[in-house]
Amino acid sequence: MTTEPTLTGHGFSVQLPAAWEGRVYRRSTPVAAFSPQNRASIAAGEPSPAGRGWLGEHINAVLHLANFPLPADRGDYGSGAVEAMTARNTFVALVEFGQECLGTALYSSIGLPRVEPRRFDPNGLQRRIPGQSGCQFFFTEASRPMCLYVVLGSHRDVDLLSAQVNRVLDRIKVDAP
Amino acid sequence: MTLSERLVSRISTRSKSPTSSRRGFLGGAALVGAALAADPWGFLVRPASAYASVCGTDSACGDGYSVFCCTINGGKNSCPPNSFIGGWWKADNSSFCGGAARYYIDCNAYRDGAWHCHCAEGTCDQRRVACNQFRYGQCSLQIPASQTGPVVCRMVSCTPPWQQFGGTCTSSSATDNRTATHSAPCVGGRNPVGSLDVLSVSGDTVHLRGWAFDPDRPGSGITVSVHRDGVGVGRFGTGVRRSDINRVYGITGDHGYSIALKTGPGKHTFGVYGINLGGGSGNPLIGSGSVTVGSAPRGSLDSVVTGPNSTIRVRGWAYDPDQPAAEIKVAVYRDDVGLAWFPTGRRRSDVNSTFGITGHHGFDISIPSPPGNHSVRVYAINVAGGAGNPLLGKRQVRVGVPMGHLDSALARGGSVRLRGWAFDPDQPATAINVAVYRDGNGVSRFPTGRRRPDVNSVFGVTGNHGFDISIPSPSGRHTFEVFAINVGPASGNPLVGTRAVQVAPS
Repeated sequence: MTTEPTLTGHGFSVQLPAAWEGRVYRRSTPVAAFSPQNRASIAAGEPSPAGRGWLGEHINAVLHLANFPLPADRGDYGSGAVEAMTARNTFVALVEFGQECLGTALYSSIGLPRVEPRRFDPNGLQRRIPGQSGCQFFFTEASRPMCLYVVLGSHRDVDLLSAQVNRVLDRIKVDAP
Repeated sequence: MTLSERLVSRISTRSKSPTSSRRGFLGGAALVGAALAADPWGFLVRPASAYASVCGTDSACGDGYSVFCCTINGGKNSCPPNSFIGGWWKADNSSFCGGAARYYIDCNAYRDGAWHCHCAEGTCDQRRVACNQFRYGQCSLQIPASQTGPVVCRMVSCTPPWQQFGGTCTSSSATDNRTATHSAPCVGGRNPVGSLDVLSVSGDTVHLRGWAFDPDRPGSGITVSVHRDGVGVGRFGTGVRRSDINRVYGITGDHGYSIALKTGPGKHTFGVYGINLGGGSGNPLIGSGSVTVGSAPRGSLDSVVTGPNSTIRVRGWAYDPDQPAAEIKVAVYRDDVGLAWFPTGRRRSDVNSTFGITGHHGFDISIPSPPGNHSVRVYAINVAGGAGNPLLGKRQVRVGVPMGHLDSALARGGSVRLRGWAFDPDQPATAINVAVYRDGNGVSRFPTGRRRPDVNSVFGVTGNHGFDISIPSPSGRHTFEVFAINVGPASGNPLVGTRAVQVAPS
């Protein structure tokens, strides 16, 4: 009997079903400032100390779950991964936002939602890929504003795949900040 | 010649066929340049046309990405009507932004049916318009998901959205490096131009005046970002009329700026950056400079007199309004040579009362000096910013020789009465002699010894330094000269006065 592994980090935990894998990460915090010195070095053709964003950027946690191998280089909403999906695959992203979003209209829905087949749309994708469909929810869970973004490998199998997604969503726990 | 330059040169050379037009030649060179800027490595190593490289990867409608706003919005890198800023992401280490992060800002439609999904046409940026029902989620948080329509298009900038669209976008980060090479012909815009014409200080306020505009949208005002000592202090809109700039550049709009910033004392460096409206690689520094903020010291050089034993006595007061209770220093120059800095520290209740301050701000300085005439200058030394060390005053003084004055010469009967005063600063309490000459001939020496409180008060001395002498004289016109006789170490008996007198016959 195989014990299902639990993925934890940055206030997320999820017991991964068989054949699923996940990543929890926070990108590195920019340490450079928007300053004349930076601009001067950029103008002079030197490597920019602000290559990964600017000081003041708020870096939050991201959770990726998929039933296919996740490539190392992924965008926060799954670019780089969704291109590798087959019709039987699903991709789930939980993207956290800053506390300044709390109480706003966009994040007013409370609780991690579950997906419904009718919510999926082939145009509901960050990048439209033929055959796929996606949907997106903004909400607040445990005082953490988030976006749930789900991509299904085949819109034709929306009932089957969305049920798989909900079973995974049932396993996600979000800690308060 | 750089690799890019060589490439442009080679391709341009190729295109110089006898039938090539000048316009075609320039257009070809420009296209290569744009392709190099958009995707330099890809353009150089892949067998693709320059035209395709201008738009980067995934530029076809079927590739599934959203179009750039400038492609569908008349060249403007802004949200078209009936759309709002829905969110943003960044691609790190972008060559478009000099190696810094490049930001993409989505413009979402409302769910009002104003936009319909289609593919962009007319350029190589044929990406999707109002198709992808997706939102990044950091901007316009007052608009709920239920009112959010598809992404109409995306803006692009090298400036972080929470700065460029402060109040609309938050700084919660999202990253997608796969879009790093996406571009469009209209994205390769120019940077703002401008100038910091005036950087001046008035009191505790620094004034910055100049102009700036973005050649991509020359009729629109832009913002300038002001940095003080390397730290951003704010963004300010242009909007001041500068008809000279409009005339020179052939543009319209009000492109001047006039900014006043309260600033603490001390030396400060200011930089002004023009914030890009359209494309271009960034927000260039359009001017910089340094100023010193703070009040200059105040003061007065009340008197410079010769003192005992060949000294110069310098008196006055000075204080710095930036630190009004503190004792400051004054710098004394004699004959244009700096001698030393001397502290204030003498009570001057009159100064305190007049300026409503506390502390001891008077100075009373004695400077040993060689005999002779000297010029003395005194400067107040700034302690907390302000425009330098102001000159408090300049005086002339004679050291080591007697001084005096022949106040009057009056004939009465057969005598002439000479009155005046004289003393030697080397022995200021001692009565000295004066020598009287009549018509060039010495008459005699006479001691001083009369009370002259006015002289004592003015020169700060004691003793009796007046003289009142009667000289019997024959009738006729006579000229009298009076010399003060030196008693100190220096030589010379200076003339203290000359008078002509008519003596009547007795």
